[in-house]
Amino acid sequence: MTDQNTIGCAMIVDDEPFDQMMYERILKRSGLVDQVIGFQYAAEALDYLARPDRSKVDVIFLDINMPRMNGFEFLEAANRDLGPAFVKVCVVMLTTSIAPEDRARAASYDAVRDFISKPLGKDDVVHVANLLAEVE
Amino acid sequence: MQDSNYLKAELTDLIQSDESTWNFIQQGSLDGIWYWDLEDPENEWMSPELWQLFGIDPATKAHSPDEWQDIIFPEDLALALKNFEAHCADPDCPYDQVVRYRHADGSIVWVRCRGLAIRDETGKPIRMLGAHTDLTAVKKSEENAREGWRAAELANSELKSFAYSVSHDMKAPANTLKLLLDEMAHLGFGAEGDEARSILDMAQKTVARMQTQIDDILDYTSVIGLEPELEPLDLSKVAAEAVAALQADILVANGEVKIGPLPWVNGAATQMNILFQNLISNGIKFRRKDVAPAVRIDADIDPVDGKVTVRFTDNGIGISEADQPRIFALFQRLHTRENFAGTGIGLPLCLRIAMIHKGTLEVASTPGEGTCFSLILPGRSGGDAK
Repeated sequence: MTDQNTIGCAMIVDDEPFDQMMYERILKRSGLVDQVIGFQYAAEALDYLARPDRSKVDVIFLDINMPRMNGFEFLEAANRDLGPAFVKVCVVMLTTSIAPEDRARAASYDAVRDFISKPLGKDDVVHVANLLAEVE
Repeated sequence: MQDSNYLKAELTDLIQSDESTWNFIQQGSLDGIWYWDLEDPENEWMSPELWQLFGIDPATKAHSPDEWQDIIFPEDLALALKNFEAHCADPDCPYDQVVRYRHADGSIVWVRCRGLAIRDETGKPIRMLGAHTDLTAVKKSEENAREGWRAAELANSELKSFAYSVSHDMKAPANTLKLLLDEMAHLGFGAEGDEARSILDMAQKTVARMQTQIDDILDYTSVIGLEPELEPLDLSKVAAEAVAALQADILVANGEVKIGPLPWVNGAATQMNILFQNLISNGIKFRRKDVAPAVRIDADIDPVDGKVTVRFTDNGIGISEADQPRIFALFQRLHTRENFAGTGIGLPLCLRIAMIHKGTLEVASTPGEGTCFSLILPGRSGGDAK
């Protein structure tokens, strides 16, 4: 068996504090993630990504339905404001959204690599780690 | 054979000998007849009933074909003339079409117009006999049925999107609960201590949130699609009752609600109460830190059209211009649950109630200073101005 791929830094953008807490536990417990950064407002996540001194973010778990700026608006703004730097980040949509048009819309962004239905499980973490290894 | 029945022969004779029999038949079954001299086409006799159908006094008419051609819809005239040509050339082509005439009052009269060419021994048409049947009532009920169908379609698609939104919105806390229960399972049965207690606490809060959500959705569904009986309603009383119901929340927030003089309107008491409670409680809830919330309710009546504007003004956090279009959308929230509780149902519900009252709900706000919601209701038509 080869070594399991890992994720350096994962960002969670989700307005539900309990969900955030649980995702952080799941990610850390998987042993595949070094660092977890969480944001409850998409706009704050965007501000963070625009900071020149920020640490490298390998994957963003992005919710769709959030107060004010939703997941799609976040993708729109990130593409516009961060440009090519953002496309290199791997975005995984993490949502309860069941509408096929949401899925199609998410897939239209280059940065979006996958679409996971909530809740996030350990298998999903392994899957995303492998996805990252492929991208790199 | 039935055709040899003696009564039929008798009726045929009667029609020929007694004009009143013929009049009875044509007046009882038709809405006007015409008889056109094709050898001298300036002459076309039209029955009084034909003109009466269009609200025109037959005495003003001179039996000229121009007279009906002036009030028939041009595109329908073209169709009638085309069918006329075809029928004259070939008796097997029926002269039969539905056309529109302009009534003297401007409305449309739908008429089925049928005609039969009368031919000489060579087969050449020399006269044309025609009959009108009024189809306006049929056309109107057709239009009504179409409108009803469109309204039902709209209601149906609205219901579908509502069901989608509700199921989607209910999935969120269900998901949170699953995460928490999974975590409990991970800790193991009989787990005790702070960690287990805190997860249990979160699970309880999540279930409470689901209950609030369901209650709010029930409130919403009790209002949508309803055409309540509107009755004279004293808004001062509605406001006082709403404040009384919110007394505990207002006290805890050290808040204040001032009610100015409010008019009577035509309204549904239960719904208006829900609207007042929602807008007042928003004014208390979305308060700034260190500023005691104050809500003022006042109203004025437009002296021209009698429209009533009720303003709910608060000194809270305000809503940025960019966020304002979102607030009336179902399940849309501007804040995380940690900052301000809520289900995203209150304002859409208020807007719904305003619309049921044939009114609107508008927002004006300055972030950091406060928000003003204006409920605009139509004046009490024909009622006392009090």
